[in-house]
Amino acid sequence: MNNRNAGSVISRSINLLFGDENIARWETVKKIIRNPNSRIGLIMIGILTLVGIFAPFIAPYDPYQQVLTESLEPPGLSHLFGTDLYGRDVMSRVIHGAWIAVKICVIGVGIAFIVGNLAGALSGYYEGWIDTIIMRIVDSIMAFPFLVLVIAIMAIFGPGLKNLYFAIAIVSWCQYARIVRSRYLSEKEEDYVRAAEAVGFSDKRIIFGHLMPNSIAPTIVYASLDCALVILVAASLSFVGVGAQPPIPEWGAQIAEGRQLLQVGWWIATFPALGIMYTVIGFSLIGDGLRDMLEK
Amino acid sequence: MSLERYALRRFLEMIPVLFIVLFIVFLMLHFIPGDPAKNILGIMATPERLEQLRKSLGLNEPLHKQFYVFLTQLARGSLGTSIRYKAPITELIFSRLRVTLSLVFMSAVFCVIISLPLSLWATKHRGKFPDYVARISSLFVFSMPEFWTGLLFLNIFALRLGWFPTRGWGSGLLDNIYHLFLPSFILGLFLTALVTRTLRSDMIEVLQKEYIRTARTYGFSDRTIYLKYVLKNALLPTITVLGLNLGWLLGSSVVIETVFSLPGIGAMLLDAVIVRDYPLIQGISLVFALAIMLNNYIVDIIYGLIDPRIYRS
Repeated sequence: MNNRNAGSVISRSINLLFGDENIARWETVKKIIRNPNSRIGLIMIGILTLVGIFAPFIAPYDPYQQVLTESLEPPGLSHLFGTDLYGRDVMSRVIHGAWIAVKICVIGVGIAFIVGNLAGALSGYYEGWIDTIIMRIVDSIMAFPFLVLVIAIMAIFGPGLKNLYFAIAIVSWCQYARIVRSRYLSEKEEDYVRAAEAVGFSDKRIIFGHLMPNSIAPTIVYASLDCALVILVAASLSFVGVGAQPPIPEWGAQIAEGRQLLQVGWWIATFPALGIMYTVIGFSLIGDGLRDMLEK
Repeated sequence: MSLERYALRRFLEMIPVLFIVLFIVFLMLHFIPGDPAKNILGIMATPERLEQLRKSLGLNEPLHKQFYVFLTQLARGSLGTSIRYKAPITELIFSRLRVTLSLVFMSAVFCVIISLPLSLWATKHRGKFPDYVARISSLFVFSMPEFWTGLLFLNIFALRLGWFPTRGWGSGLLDNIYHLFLPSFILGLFLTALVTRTLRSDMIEVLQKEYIRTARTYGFSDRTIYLKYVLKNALLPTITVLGLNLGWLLGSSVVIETVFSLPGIGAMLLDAVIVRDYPLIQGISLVFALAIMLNNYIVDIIYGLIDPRIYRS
């Protein structure tokens, strides 16, 4: 599939969902921006992404540099968010944490999104035994509490950020597969799919060219809510010590480091916690806004 | 189809899922990169001890035979022996199940106490100030990681003000409730953030029903309409939403039990992860999965009991 095709899958899906196919692409964008929820959410996540990408240039200090003489300094002019026990600048660490948050969403949710869409497509389009197998696997994985299964996977493969992305993807693709499958089952009966079949288009063309653009939208909505969820899960895992390991400036790990120091240095754990809240609110608002439009 | 047949069919549908769940749990040990025995005992372990552990975990047998042994053991009600505690895993889990179940139950109670009035209030004044307050506060509560809220509450209400115990589990019913108050309040709060949204939209839907209009034309007061019709019809979705969120609640209990040093199975899971007690990790994951499957089954049956259209079609 060339670039133009891949782009058109998304834009056409958005067009089909939010209006006539011939509405220009920017009309859709305008609609998304006009919704107050998704507008604020998009701005928040946009800022987060920029901060994450340019973290090395924005952060005033090296997030790993220990200056033991400046240990536990409260927020002030030289260190806006204060310093931690080892004299590291909390602000720089929070800023670098933004990049990790972005990576968790892009890699963890990204893999889950792609795998879930493909698995759901196979399941919903072909039905039969392939559907049975995929859906039973989905049911089984979803029988575990999300956090518990991720913890078990991390226990098997060992702690660390890379395994964290992987573990999150293994567990969260299921929800996408379910959403896509149920869309395919109803969408398949529509005339345009029947017509495509009658003309003799290949399965691949029907799935990628016709069904996918028409069923991807609900998964995009879910993906933004999933990002919020995954940020919380990743932070929880790092907090309990099975996710990102210190000294990596992941927000949950930073809260764990500041946990014992809340009475003497509230700023060490508070600012990373605000970072998590900011991100989760941003993604939730995008999700809410998109869902409002989907339901209208 | 009768209710009995519906219940039976749902049960039979669960069997393949149960089988795959068992297989996933079984495979956990085998997905460990390298030699599981070495991974558990560390690089300093002697060859004799490694061999001994391999033997006790049955790792020398072919895979299908191991799975067979795993299943027959399970059928006898055994989940194997914990490496760290050197005790049967079923006993370990049962001794701590009470804490986790009490935590989950009390969180659900808190959730109902908070979310019902909140969503009634939001519904009654929808589109106005109280509605926004409810929505924004639930967004904020949802965005805070539970462990962070836990730490905040622990520091404010337990350490600073001394109103609640800082850690552990009490003795006797009242003392236990006292110890569980803060942790279950926090979980209940999060659950409220999840439930209120559904509840609000359900209530608004009920309000648009014709019997509500009829009740209004009869001149019933708002109070009667909300308490007698709207609340009554909203109780059912509340229970369903609570049931559906049990998985989330059990997952969060792991984190909250750690923050409040509660001796539940969630905290035991993390202990097991840290000391690489894989049989215990397998056992706890399985118990969590079984609890959720059972819960979903019961929710389905309750659903069928209340709305027979579900199984008649």
